[in-house]
Amino acid sequence: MAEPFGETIRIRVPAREAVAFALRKGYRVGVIDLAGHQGVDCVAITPGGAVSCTRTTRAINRRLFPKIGQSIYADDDEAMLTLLDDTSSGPHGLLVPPCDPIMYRLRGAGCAHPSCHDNFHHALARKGIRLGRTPPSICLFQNIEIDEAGHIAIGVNTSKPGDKITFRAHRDVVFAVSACPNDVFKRPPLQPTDIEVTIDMPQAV
Amino acid sequence: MNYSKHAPHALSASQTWLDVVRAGSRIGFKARGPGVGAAIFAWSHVDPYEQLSDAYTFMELRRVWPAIGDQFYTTLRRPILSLERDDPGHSIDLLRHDCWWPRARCLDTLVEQAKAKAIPAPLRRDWPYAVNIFARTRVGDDGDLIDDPVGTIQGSQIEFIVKFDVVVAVLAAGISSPAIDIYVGPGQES
Repeated sequence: MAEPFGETIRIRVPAREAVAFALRKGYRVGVIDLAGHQGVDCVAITPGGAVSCTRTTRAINRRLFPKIGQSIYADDDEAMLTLLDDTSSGPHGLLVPPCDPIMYRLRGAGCAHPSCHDNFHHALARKGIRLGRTPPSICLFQNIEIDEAGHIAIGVNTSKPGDKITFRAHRDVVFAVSACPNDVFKRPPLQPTDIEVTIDMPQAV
Repeated sequence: MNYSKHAPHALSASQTWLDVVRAGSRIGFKARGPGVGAAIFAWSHVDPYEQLSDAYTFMELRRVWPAIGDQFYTTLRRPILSLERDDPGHSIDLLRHDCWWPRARCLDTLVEQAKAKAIPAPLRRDWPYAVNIFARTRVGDDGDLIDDPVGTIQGSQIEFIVKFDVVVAVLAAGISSPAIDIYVGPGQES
């Protein structure tokens, strides 16, 4: 039986920017690639300080990325977000870190280039959260693949306009979502674009 | 290479080791039998928040199974270790971390060890994740991660060169696994 959900909140995240917002246990959160080919980096933090962990998620699921019904785990080994639906053809990434000023400097784009790293810290700071380290992010719509020899290839994202990935919160978290500013690996005329987040709250009983 | 001036430290199953290893030193791990394994944590001696990272290594190396000559990277995208010897081949596992203990118990032990030796370490919640040696994970169809046993035998060795002054913490695998020898040389060990 479908779960009864009430109000839906929609948040538009401008290209190259991030938002952080609270999700209560049981809320559903969707991330929509509005224009296609856009990567979205996410991290989640509980009020107790547990942080989403790509390594723990890979280890517990024994997969590069969760299947429908599997979860994103925190560094305390507890589930945070369960993958409910994915209209994209994938893949998504749990292997590489968010883009950061050092990456842009090393690749000739200057360290003032906007980055998911800085976006996370600024968005979380607005929620009163400060992290000592930057956790590797959940990279939605990232076109990352491993060949038989173990080489990692990151290509232009193949997500289509309107593709959406949906999770259910397993516990109260602050969820930070960054519309990845990376224009270094994208081919012209692809540029970072806006994304949309939907939050569905369970109907009050 | 002769390590006679730097006697190896034998680490039995589930024991931990933590120390400063100076820039240019060689740190090695020698199996005393099949079935050994260890989890390695490493960070900068001057900045415990610059840490050995699977994610940054994947990004810079663009390979999931490091080979001899490859470098491992920190969270500041700087080489921290280079792989000099890997007898079993492709036996450094970055895809899955395994500490055999719950992470909290592992950190409790290592944090106390760092404190006792007055070695700089990150806050407990900011500790890095381990890289496993004498371990391998294969990527199956559809992104499944599958155990791929490593053919470790008595005497199998893995060696790294340390690129700058680092703190290295090691947890030996299992409960009844053979011991593992850790040796540091020819540079200085604090």
